[in-house]
Amino acid sequence: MYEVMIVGGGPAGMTAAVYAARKKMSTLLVSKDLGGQPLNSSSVENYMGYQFVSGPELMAKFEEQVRQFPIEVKTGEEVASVSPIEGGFEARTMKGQAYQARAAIVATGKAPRPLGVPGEERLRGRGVTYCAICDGPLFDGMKVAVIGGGNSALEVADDMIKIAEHVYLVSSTRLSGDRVIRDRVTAAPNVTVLTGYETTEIVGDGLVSGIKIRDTGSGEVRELEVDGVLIEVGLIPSSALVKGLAPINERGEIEVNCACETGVPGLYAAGDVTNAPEKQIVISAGEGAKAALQAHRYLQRLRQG
Amino acid sequence: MFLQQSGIEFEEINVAADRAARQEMVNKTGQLAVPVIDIDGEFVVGFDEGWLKDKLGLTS
Repeated sequence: MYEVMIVGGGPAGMTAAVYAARKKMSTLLVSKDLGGQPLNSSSVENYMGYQFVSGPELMAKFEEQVRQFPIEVKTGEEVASVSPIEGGFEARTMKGQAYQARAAIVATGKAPRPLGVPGEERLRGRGVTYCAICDGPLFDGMKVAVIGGGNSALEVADDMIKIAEHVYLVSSTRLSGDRVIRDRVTAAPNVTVLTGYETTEIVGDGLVSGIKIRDTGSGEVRELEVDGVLIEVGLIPSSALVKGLAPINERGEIEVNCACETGVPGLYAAGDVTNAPEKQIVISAGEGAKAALQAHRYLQRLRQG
Repeated sequence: MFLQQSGIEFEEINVAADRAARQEMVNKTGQLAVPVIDIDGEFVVGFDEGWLKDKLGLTS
């Protein structure tokens, strides 16, 4: 049994791991990847010490620091549930692995919100993507639909204009977001903006071949021929793993106090998965550090009885 | 980075720039997602350290 187990490998999780290891706790970090959300960010201009760095570069620096310590790192593993056991917690992964530790820090962040329409799950990775920065270049010379009407959808559309043959920007609401990008996107010759349309289905046999959209006013359904669907309709906290164990608020965030405590002794949460206000790399890193130091105090108290 | 650190020889193909390679990737994996790692005809989509270590016979 490890002393502390950290679930999630973004800024909060990796910082927690370094702080935990520096307190000489035996530390396990389990995560789908090392880097988390910043891996999808092409530029970071507000992480102190770096005037400009790309998200992946910054996360590579974090990882380098993690690897300097004897931290057990398990990537490619998604934790499905964390539950209390005698003397600590057990994490079970999607692949059926189980890990135990005396204290646990949940730092699973946020994940893209799915549309929840037929065909979406089946065609994920087959033309449906939630990571435009990773997969966008694959649609070079093809037709794509970007779903969403906020800043992130506009940014993706703006990038795809240069890559794809044609971009449909489909949003059920009016476009919001930064005016400069909005004007640039709507003026591009290879963009069709379709506001007031909701996406009802993603179609394709093996790979995406199109989407069905419905006019929210008239109810009329249209089909667009596309090879790629880039979904940008917001993020949801990845808190399902502690559902029923820790308090989760109406936004799906794990409720913690300012010491990253969940109310379950020995169970901490840090970063974007929590109700801590403002989702920023520097904040998540700080919260991760705090959670690890708190977990250390908790274990010290346990030892002292 | 992991492959370099492990001293594994590999060839990197940019499927965004190389349409023929992209088509080959889709044909072989049925997927349009990156990264794809091909080890002697076995594929994994994404970076799965456990799988890689297993296939490459790396320990630790």
